Amino acid sequence: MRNKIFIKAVSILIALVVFTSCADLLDTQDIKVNPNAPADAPIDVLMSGMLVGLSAAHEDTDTRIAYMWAGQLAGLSRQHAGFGIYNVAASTFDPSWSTAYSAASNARILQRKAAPINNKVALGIAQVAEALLMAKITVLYGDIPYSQAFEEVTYPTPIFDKQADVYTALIALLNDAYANLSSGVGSVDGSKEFIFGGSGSKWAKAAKTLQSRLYLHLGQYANAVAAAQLGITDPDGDALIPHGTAQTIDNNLNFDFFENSRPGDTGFDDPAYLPVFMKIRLDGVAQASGKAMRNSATDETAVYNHFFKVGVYSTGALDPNTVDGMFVSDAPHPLLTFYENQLIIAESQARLGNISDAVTALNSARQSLATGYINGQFINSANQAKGIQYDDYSDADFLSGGLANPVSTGRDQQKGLLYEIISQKYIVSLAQYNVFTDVRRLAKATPIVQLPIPPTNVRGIPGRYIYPQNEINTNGANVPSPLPDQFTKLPIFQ
Amino acid sequence: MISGVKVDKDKFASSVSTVQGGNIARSGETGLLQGLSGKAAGVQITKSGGDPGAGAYIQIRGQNTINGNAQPLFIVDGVPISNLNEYGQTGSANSINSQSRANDINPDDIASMEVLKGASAAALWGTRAANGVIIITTKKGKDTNGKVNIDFKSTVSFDKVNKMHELQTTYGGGTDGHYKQGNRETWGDKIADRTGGTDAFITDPAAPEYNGFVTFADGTKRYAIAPGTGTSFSGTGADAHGGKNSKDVYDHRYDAFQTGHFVDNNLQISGGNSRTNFMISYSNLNQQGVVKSFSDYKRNSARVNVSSQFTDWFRASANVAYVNSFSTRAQGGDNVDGLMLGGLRTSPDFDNSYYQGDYTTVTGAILPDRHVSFRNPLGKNFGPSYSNPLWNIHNNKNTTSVDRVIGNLELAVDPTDWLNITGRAGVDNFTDHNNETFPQKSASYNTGFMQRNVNSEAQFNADLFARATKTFNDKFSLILLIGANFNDRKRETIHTQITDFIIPNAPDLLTNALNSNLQAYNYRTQIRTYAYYASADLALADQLFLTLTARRESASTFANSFFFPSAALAWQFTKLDVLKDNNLLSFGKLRLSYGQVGIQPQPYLNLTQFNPTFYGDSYAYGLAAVSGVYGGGYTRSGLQGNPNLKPERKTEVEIGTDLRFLGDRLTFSATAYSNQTTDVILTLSVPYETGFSSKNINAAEIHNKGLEVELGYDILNKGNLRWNISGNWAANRNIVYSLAGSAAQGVPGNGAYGGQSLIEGQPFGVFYGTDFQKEANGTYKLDASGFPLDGIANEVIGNPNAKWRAGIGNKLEYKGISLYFLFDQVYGNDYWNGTRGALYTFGTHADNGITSIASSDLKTYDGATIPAGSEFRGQIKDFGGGPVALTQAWYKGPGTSFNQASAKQFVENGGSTRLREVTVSYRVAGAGFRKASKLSSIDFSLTGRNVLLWTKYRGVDPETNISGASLARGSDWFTNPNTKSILFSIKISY
Repeated sequence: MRNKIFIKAVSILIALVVFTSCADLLDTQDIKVNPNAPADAPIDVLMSGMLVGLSAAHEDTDTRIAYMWAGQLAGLSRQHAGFGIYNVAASTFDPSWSTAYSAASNARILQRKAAPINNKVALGIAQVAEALLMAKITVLYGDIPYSQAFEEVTYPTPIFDKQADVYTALIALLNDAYANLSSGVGSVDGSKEFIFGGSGSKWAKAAKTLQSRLYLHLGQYANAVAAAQLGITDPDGDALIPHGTAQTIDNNLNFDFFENSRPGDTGFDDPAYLPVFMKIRLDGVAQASGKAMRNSATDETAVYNHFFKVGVYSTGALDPNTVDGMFVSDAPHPLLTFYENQLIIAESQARLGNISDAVTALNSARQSLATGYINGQFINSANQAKGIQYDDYSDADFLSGGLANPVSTGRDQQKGLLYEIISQKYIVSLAQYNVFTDVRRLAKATPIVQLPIPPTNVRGIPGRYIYPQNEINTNGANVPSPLPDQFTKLPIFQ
Repeated sequence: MISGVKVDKDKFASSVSTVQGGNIARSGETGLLQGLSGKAAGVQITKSGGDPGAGAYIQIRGQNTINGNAQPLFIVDGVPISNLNEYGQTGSANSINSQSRANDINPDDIASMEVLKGASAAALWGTRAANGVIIITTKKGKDTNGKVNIDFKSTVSFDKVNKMHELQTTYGGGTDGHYKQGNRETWGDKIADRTGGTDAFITDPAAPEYNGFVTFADGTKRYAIAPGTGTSFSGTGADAHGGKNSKDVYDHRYDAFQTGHFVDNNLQISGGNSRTNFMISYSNLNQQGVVKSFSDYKRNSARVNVSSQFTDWFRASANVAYVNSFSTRAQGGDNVDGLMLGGLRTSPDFDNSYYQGDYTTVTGAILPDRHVSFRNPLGKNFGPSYSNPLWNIHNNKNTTSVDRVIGNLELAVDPTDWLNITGRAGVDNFTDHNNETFPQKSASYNTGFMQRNVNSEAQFNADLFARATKTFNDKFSLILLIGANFNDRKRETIHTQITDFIIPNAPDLLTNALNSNLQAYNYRTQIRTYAYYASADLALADQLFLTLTARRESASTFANSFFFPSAALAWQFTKLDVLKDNNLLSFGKLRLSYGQVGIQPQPYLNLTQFNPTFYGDSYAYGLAAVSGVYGGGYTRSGLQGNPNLKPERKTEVEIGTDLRFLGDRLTFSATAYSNQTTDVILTLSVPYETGFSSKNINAAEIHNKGLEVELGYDILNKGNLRWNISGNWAANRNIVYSLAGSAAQGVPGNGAYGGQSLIEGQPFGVFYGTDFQKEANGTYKLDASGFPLDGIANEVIGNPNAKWRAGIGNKLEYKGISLYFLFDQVYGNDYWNGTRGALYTFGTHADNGITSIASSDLKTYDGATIPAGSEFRGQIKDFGGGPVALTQAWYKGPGTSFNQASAKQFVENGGSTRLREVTVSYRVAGAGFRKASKLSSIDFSLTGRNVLLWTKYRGVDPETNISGASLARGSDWFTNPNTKSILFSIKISY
């Protein structure tokens, strides 16, 4: 009896062991292949994803710190109270650096997919996106990894290129992008290319506006004018990030920051300079209550109320207008605009001594502002009723003692005109990182004309961002040493 | 060591700590993990917090892995079970205390727990054993000759918060030394200098500062109060107070807290005869937490264990448990709806008890049921900025409901008297319905947010092994075991969420939002493992015992198969003739062992994936391509795939001794170990400009070495009087030996608030953060006023790993009365008190209530001067350049943990000594009583749990952690507090 059982048991044991030894056990589909994600994505789908990254990079914390350091936004509480007095560390900048390079690497993947099939429109769009992202990084950080970037196998620890070389490369990239986009070869799905709905020609103009921005940084004013003249020709050509009203999904990130994530941590009360600046009347005439008039030809009260609103997050506080203005949840956010294009032309022409051409460009922006249009929105009628006026200037308005250049400023015509151009640009560029670029650039560009933005710390307005901690940890040999702090000036603005 | 196979500990060579089930149940903890605290050398338990049902982190010896499962493997009656610590499914980071699934086991069902600490003991469990194995054996019926034993035990507990942050009540809400209603800060006026009496409300609608009013349920109205004006360093002066007259202050530390309680009832019926035995239990735990509402934990569990020896060669047994648990969990932690965050940041002069009211606007419209908080004192705004904790606990409901079945079936045949063949199959299936709701008007999601998650896990495990026992003669015996194991684990999550409710107070329905505000995803994993194993136990001359084990394992998560061997040798040297029958040294054993165990890679790390695009931001949420506005985009994952991953491998050598003296009255056991985990999978951060943010590689190496001592002494054993003392002490030294050349890597996962990182040559998870800039000689670089310059890059600023831990237990028994107490100590660990640093910026911390007199003209951080002899709010500090004044400007700037100037300021000593448990019990079991009552005994006991705590740490109990059971240890960011309890229990045995 027992022996029989023994034999049976042993044979069952052996059978089971043999059965279970079958390696097929590990070959089920769910086991070998990740059931949770695909291993590739087609061009159109990548386009949407890459542009979401591009969008996030233009509405991120780096961007808010930039317009805070340009005196537009005040840091009032928690982390932003520190940022407001220029207090940052290497680790502050990890997320934004990561977003920009991740989006740019996806732009590269897209380019590598688009080039072999001759989809030049897709290729060009991805090139402009790459240039936008890298332009942002270099203008905030100076020398950056670029020539060896996005090649993880060949260059696991990319070197840092000189800032001047990055500019040269980006300008060349934009020429290439312009040619590709102008070719009309290829197409992308307009519902997934959500900036211009797949319009290659609009992207071509945007490429030129971006290129003119880079020339302006380098002080190459003639090149800037030439590029801008091929740039965005009307507000319809503004490159804008669209938004919706779904929290955690497609909210404008400034709205989400002000309304949901960090209400009251920042605002437009002291020491924010922009609201103060908008109410300064240059000729010393007393400003009527609530008015924002720089001179008798310019009433920006509508814009002021479009930007700011009292008491949204705290009684009596001057808060971002998240109710019916610039910062509502579905407000588009600008990447590149007609206003920037025209004001680059105006400033460059003014610096080249071409006063009339400068005034013409400035007036073209003002004529559009007079319609109440800004960044894809029209200022609502209630706010427009508070005052909107942009009369055309004449060249003479900028002569010393002219309408837009009171004698008390002591500026000659060229400087008076430059002051008006940079004033207008400072205002219409609210919430863009470019305002911090301009603050630093204008300290160097000759003739020197600057807005009197007061620093919030005795060490003065910062000159740059600090390289991220992750970069120090993982690519330490290539990060410039000693680690420059935030008060060090960038090469192109030295 | 294979569970279910009895081992004589005296012959065992690897280190195993055994804890009797009664000791777990007696601890007064509702969860068995917490009940294990302080009871075994080298086993560290840290609660996630004091919320009902909160999970715990277990660390045996030291950390071994970075990305793998870092928790020990749990085996119940021979079958692995899940101890999932849920993660990530909250609307805000680290906001709800997560649970640990091992706590589903009813502590009263446990007969004993064995903690296999060393690699040699655990080697037969292969790639799941590197963090140790905890073997739980449940209670079985005994041969009672057919008598049925009935035990009924009932426990009631009263729980209180045991330790809190310190707050100030000297200065009121406002800024720059003047009062301002609704201001986010408490840098206002000196409360004692106010006139007293009621506040001067602005009630005249014609007044320019009129701002409407709020009407509360009891009819009380609140209007705007004129702010004070001017700037003063002392918060005094006629203009400082505005219309604020009241000197009333409120203690916001306990706004949301009460005395909690639980009732735990346990019924056990057991019995058997010579062939068959059974144990049936039912337990019901019902806990109301220390949070005033929406904080509870209910656990119902039933178990049936039966076993029968059908014939002399065939035995079968089955163990089945069903558990249902339900918990409502309060928001805490890093979350503007957290109870601690909203409460501790509130000004002491604001009354949080009025948390809801109807706001009447300036024009007379009435907006009903507004959320009133210190930053929204009239309910004027729809969102409160920070939630009033009392509003929150009445509105914000988050639940988890778990159904779980754990069971196994075992058949054993004994074909011959030397051979046994056992087949065992077990399942562990659970489903967790995990819900979170932020109603409209909450701070985080003022238009509403709701998520519904269903997490399910199913584990199937089968073992078949044959065991041959042969005693050749009295000098030599052999036990040989060979077996095969198959294990399959499936996990699935289905997530749905909506934002922006259509109907504010609708039931929790996914249709209560536009389609564009509905998000969903599903995620599933499956892991399969099969292995063959063998072990041989050789006994020589009844004094040398050698155990050899081997396991060959293949799994779906790695290519090829891997081999895990172990060898352990025990020598009972007191069996030597010269030492025999010696009463002084009554038993002595030396142990030496070697073993290898592994850690499986996580599933699906082989390929680089493309994911639906989401780009987040540090201080705003982020953009998701799934929106209709963006048309649905994908981007390449930042994590680079690696098809060549292999298991991590831990190799450990142990040497130890077990000694008993004085006729076994004094026992002593010591173990020294050294282990290296190689091929540790590192999610290596790479430079972002490569296009990836990280890649997984088998590259890191972690070393642990340590010493564990356990001691027991029967001091007295005379007649009815017995006194036993027992102690344990353990020290572990951990070092991250290699990181593949990377300078520093953040600890993975959420919650590294103290900057917990891995750095070559440093212990695991040290705090890596900024400190003020220093000169070469180590002194601070100072600005012209004498304030230090802000740090810009990180350095090692603290170590959360304890230098040593110890526990001492005492048990005194006299007749039916016994007294037990357990002290434990944690020494030499740092703790990052981010909460203190955060409260500084708001001016509510006790340190912000200090008033100083300027000893000389003192500079403030923003460049002002406080004249000598004048009073100011703040402290005098010398950073090396002479005294300076720390005032509002400092605490809102470099002096807060929100700021990155110096995280080191908030590193504190996290060491503690605690009276963990004290129990007095009395047993009635006299012959007269038994006869009269027909009962066999009644036990009464009174237990104090976590009764006393001595620590220099200034926040909540340092035995909590903001990021729950993650590898980032020792940081506090508005973590919900721990609790202490007093319990009464009665056990009636029939």
